[in-house]
Amino acid sequence: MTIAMMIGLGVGIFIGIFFDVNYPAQFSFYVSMGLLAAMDSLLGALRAHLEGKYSNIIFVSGFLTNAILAAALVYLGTRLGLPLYYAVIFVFGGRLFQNLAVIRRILIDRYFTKKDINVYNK
Amino acid sequence: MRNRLKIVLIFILCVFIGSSVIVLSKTVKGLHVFVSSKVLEDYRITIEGERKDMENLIKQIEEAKAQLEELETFEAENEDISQELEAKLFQDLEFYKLAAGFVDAVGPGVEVIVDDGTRDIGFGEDPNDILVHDMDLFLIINELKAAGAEVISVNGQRIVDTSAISCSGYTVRINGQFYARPFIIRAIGDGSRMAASLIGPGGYGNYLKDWGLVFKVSIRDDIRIPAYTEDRAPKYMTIATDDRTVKEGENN
Repeated sequence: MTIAMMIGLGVGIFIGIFFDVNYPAQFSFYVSMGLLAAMDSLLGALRAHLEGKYSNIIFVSGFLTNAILAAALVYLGTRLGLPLYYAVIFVFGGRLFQNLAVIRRILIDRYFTKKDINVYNK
Repeated sequence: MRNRLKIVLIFILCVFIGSSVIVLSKTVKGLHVFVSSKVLEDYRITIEGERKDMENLIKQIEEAKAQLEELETFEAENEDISQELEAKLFQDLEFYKLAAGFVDAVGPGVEVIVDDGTRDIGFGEDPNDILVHDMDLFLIINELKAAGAEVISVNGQRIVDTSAISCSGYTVRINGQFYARPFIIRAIGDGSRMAASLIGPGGYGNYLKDWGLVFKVSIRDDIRIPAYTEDRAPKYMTIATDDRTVKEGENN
């Protein structure tokens, strides 16, 4: 799992650097929002994997719907003249930290406090 | 099988993340600011306005260049240019003389006669009610100007830019000379329009008539307005030599 992530990131960075991928400037917001959605999904998947309740269909559908909603919000914001993309940034950013916190606790549980399962019930 | 699909999906997502991070960081230079469509529209309008200004300026430059060329070719062609220029200057001079009031002016227009009222004044009534005042003349002149009068005289005194009308007892002082009733105001312009503005509904002539004053308007084809006869040499003002433009609300 982690090896796949590492290799995937490496391949992505390689593609980004060595292939001249280009997109129109007005789509940069959509790409940013897609990136946020992807990072959120990745951390969500990692968390679910560590919790042992990972599901492919939930992972894929979650990523797609989140990305579509983010893009729709950005589009609507551009139409209305409102910075609606803040909503996307706040939600995804907040969930990133939340997922990271859960992953951290799980990992701490697993590697440092193996015996004491009630470490945070003190 | 299930596990392999999971790894593949994670792999694809990571490829996407890595590539978009690099692509974004390559494309975005500096801080990215959200621009709403309204701001874009404003900028578009501003740019268009600037472009139009630029076009106008280019046109002006071209016109000036054409004029310069014309003059240069004149100069190159022959010496006749001096005569032509002289004729043009005299033509200009005639116009300025006419506009400033140094020559007599003729043309169609109206003649307005205002006189003191002849009715008996009521008991205790102020006699001023039926006398012609400086303000009456003032308002009539303003009304005539508003109706398109090009040149105006009162009792043979040309009304120019420095003309003043003031009250002095039973007489009225116009351009420094004293005049008594009746007052004959002549104006050159669209006669029917000026007459209508004075004696139409709400016109000042009607108002004077209501007070009992004599007010007569006749449309004439041969109004003659004499030249301004007083001294006009300026004592204080001189021509500005710098081409600095004074902005609104700014003194000096």
